[in-house]
Amino acid sequence: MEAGAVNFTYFLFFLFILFGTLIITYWASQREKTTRQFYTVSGSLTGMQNGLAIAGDFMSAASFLGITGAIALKGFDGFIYSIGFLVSFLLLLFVIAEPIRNIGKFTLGDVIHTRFPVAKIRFITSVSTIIISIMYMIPQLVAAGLVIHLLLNVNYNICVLIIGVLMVFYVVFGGMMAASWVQIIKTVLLLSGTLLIVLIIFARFHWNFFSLIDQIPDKSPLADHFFMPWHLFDNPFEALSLNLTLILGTAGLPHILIRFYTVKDKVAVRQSVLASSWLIGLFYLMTLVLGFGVVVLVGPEHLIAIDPSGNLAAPLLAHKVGGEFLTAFISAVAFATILAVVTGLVVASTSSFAYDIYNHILRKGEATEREQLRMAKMAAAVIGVVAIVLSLNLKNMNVTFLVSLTFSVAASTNLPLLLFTLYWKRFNVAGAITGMVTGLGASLICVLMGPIMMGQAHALIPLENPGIVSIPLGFLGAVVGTYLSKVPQDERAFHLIQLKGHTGASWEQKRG
Amino acid sequence: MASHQEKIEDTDLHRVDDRIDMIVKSDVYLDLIKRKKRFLVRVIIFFMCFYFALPLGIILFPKVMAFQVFHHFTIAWVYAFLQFVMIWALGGLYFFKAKQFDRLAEKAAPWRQEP
Repeated sequence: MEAGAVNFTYFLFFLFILFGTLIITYWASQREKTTRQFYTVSGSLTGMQNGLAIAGDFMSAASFLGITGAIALKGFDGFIYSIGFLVSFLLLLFVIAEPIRNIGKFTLGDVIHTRFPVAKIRFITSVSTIIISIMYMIPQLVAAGLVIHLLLNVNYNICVLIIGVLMVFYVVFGGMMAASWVQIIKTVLLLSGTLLIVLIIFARFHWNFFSLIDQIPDKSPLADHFFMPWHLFDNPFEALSLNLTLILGTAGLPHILIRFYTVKDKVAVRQSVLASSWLIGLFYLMTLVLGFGVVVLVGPEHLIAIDPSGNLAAPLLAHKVGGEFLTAFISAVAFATILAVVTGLVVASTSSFAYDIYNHILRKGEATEREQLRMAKMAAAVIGVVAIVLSLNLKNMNVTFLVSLTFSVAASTNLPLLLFTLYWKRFNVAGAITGMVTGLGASLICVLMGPIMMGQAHALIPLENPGIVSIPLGFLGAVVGTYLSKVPQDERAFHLIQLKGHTGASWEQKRG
Repeated sequence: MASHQEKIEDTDLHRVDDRIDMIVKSDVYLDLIKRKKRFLVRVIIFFMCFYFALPLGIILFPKVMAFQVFHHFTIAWVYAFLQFVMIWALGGLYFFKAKQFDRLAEKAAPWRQEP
């Protein structure tokens, strides 16, 4: 890869992605202009399409670039990341996905509100959705800026600005439909690009996987210890905390949860989750091969010399095995990957604001379709500006840390709320609010007192990933808040939730 | 899609509540909830234990987990690959089991209309 002037081949591929996504957005914008279409594509996606979209929404630059680099540099521990991300889909499949689809209509707020029909519950759920989505947007934009700067030699600030403007544009003009199809196409490109590199690697080693493995100890500075753990995590609590956070976090991520409203029924929901777990699983197996390929064909020292964070592992490998053309393709795929994820995050936060806060709370459910759509578009622009400004100022922040913090907050706030709302009869409004506040507070306090903020030597809570502390506190806060409150139990509300959640029965009724 | 949903007005609120009361007390419904809970609790405990056995195994039994099985892959690696098998197998199992629960659900709430 050349430093200096912008490489024309790369630029061309980026332009292809840009035009492709703009065409998708145009096509989406020609559809019916209703809130159902904007928020959920009117439930018209098939299970497989939604599976591709969920995979696209979930597999971020951290997965593709970060994990490949982590495996190449740290061996076994990098692979553990993949497994944690993947296992989290089981929790989603078993206890979260279908009830959400069966009970709610557009947002997480709908689900919680069905059980606790008070405005402050909707408000707090929406605020949590917006905070988590923006928290997740920042590392994506920062990573995008850094990677595209390295690949295309464009100024970091301009990269962040371009991605930020594009993500707002897709949502404003194309809503959930544009987001979904950008994600679907990104998944296809990502999987094909990765598969192509895997096949080239295998061909180089004459289809003998083990001859690739056997060369690793010679090429890696870790030698045979490459295959051993403890190169990334230096203490067991850190490893356990990260594992816990990954396995529980996905089920609390709003942008993943609202994807279940884009399909027509609970069977399609199951198909979606299964399809995405297969796609993501296959992808992670392929990134393993990529990681090995980087060690043997590129060399860890060469990778670190060009990019100490290891994020350029995949493009460097592409360059080695396929020259400039393949590198340009893979870089453009990374660009599409980032775009797909941030667009999904903008949709989640926008729809929550427009539907939960604007329509239900401020306008008491009386806002017209046009008013809601207009508010949604304005919200998208504002959220985009906030995310861009924060990302411009957080350029030097550790991106992986921000991602795992987001998962930690999601698992500490949304997950207890969801699980208790759906499955615990005794749960009440006080518990819901206490739980959310405790979970969020615990996550933030753990970060403020952790090694990232206070330095390794002085940290009061010596965990970079605070999940093992904040998640139980989130659950505990919800339990304690429930029991301390004098509000009598509303059994009927629980039965309604349980009935709708488990059977898919649907009534629309006005409850007080 | 809206046409398939039963719209109940305020005056019918008691009727809906009565319906819900009737269903949630019925044997078929209680049976569905019991079976589903039993399955979900078991399968969640299983996958959590299976998953955490990997990091815990590495912490508590490092020598066992570091034992090389073939071509530098240790028991830890084999167990890591087995996690993929576990995820896909449990996913398939759920898909199959869920169809049984669907049948029970239809029996429990017969006038349910799919959205």
